[in-house]
Amino acid sequence: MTDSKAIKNNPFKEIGKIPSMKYSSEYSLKNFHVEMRDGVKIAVTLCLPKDLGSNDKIPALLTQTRYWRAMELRIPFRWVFDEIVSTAPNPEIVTARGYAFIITDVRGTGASYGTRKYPFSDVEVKDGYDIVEWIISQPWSDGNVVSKGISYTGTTTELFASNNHPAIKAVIPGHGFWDPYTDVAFPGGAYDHGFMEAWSFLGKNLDINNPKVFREVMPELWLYVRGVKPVDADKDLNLLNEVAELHKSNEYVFEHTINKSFRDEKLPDNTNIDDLSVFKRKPLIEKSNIPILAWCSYYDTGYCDAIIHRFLNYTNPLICILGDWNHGAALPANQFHLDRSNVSPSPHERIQTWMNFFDQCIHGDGIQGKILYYYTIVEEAWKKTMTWPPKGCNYQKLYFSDNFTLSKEIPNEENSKDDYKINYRSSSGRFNRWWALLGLPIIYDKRAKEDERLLTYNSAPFTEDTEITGQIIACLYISSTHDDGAIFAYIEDVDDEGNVTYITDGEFRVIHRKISPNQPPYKTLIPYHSFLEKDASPLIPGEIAEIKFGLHVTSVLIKKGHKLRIAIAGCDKDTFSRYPTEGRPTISVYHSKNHASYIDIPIIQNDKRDDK
Amino acid sequence: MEELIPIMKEKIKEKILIKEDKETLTITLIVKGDIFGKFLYPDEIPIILKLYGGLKEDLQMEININEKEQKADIIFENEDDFKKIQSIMKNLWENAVDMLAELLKGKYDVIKDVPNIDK
Repeated sequence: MTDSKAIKNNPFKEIGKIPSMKYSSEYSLKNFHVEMRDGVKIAVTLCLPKDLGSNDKIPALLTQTRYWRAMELRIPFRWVFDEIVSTAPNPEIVTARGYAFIITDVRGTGASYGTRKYPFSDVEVKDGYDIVEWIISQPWSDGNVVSKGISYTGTTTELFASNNHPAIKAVIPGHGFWDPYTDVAFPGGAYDHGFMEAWSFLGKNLDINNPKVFREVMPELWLYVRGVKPVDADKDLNLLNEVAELHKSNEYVFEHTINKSFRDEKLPDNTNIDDLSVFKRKPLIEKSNIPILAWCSYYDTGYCDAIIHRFLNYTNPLICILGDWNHGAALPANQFHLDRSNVSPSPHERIQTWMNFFDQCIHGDGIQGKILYYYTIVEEAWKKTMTWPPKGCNYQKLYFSDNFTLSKEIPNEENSKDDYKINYRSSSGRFNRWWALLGLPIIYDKRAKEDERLLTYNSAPFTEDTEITGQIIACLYISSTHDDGAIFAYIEDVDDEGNVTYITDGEFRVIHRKISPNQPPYKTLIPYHSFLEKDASPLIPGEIAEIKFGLHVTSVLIKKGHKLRIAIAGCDKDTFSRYPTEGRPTISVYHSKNHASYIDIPIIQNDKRDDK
Repeated sequence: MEELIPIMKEKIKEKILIKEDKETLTITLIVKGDIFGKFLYPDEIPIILKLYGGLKEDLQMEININEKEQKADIIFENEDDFKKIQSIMKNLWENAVDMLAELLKGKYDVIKDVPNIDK
């Protein structure tokens, strides 16, 4: 978590002020269906301030989820707490600030009718438009609608803007992808088997209203949750049983992706994974010019990079925030402070900041331009920038060298290399950035032990405190005994006592190695690989190939006397598919004059920063 | 959620009234004040006895629900069953909250002996 004492440039202190509450903390609650343009009924939970006057008009905050908009609790919890007690944010914060809070089950999920073949379809997105139409027709509506969400709901929030409805005034997507291929399903072209399977399993059970799934994955929820909340009129649960039956024909992404490798492989309805993306809807989102506040953590999947891609690509008024918590910011995740138990900002502080942003967009002057707030780990300080990379950024190459070192000097030898037989027991565990999507803690606490299985290179001790901010590029010259494989590169801090702390990592399946000469679908600062089937380039065994790829964004201070380490693995067994599926390759990593492997590090000269 | 644990215990204590009638082998459950949603589904009592109360077997019981009055009569066929449930009921709600508190701390062992209660 961020250090709560880090005040300067802290977005949670800078974005607006909490006004006096407009309403009491009590709210009324209703559950009902709203009919969409094609007759499909969407389940809606509506919370209004209890003391809302009959002539009062207020804006609405909408969240569209696929994880049950509200839950029917087991007794005795149902007798004491309402069905959205565990909803984040707690509705009373929203309603007290003078907003209606509306949560929907997207079609094919929860208590909504309809079916789904894949998430974030155009049909699902379009439902957002119909829901806005319904909202602004309500007697309490002032005609303004905003949206926020985290993870799935973060993406539905961002895509909501693509509807271009004039009532939509601002959106806050948190911890969502930009490019589902690289950010979550196939990071670096390697299949995130672990999460994709778990997520589909979870979705399938949620859609048929089976809480049994929670017993294994979220036992605390299973203890007090009976199922999805039915609509109020559904006293005997007939409607709920009907929709659960309907949802049995849903399809799930794991089944559609498990045997795939390429970006352009087909999903149902002749779509591909890009059709689910945010980047492909960018023109529509930009057309709306809706202000966006997007936030995430360095430690969250590839969603951290999604923040950078939004910042580089959107023309909308934009605030981006990158911190150091887990997926959704329920827990701290700063790997240099694993002892911290509370997340900062607290969920309460965070939602108040989001409400400040909405107030500013609806009742105030809105926002102009773009700003990115980022937290530098170890320095424990917030910074802000109007450009990316931040001012004062210079790339510094560290070359792989003899004796497993990293050096600023280009190697001089003719044929130096290190051979490494892939150890298929290598793993970053199940508390890594990828499993984090299930809301788990993020803990890379055994790196020193794990590194014993890997091929590691250490720099010399740094001679001064040095800030690294951005995406490190790895360029490896390798040969292999096999034509397929994957590289997992971990960047770590090694202190003067030999303690190893995870900073970031990157992964790359070698058949995607071709650097495309074509224009990427969006601006990126890392080598562009198309991940298209036509560009697949299996290795030729024994032949040296360049493997150049970007690692996940970070901002960290390497202290004087500490070393930087790169640790290279050929698999991450608890998370990613194995490449190749059979055999145990030996790779050679070259550090010779003509094949000088290196990492390129974005180093910040702090005196040139523009937030000083 | 953790911060709600003590509040939950207090609220549950205030809200739930249990009456026992040895003559008719009936345990009556009354929930006072406003509640959120449905008072009771017919399958819920056997589920929570297993989930929070440690009951392992299926007991014969008749459950009469009065949704409007938020009242349920649980009528047993024999005295042994009545006594067994009477004993479980004493700590049932407290157990539910304690189990939740343990699970929130990541102590998943508290549910390892719960039999299959799901469909």
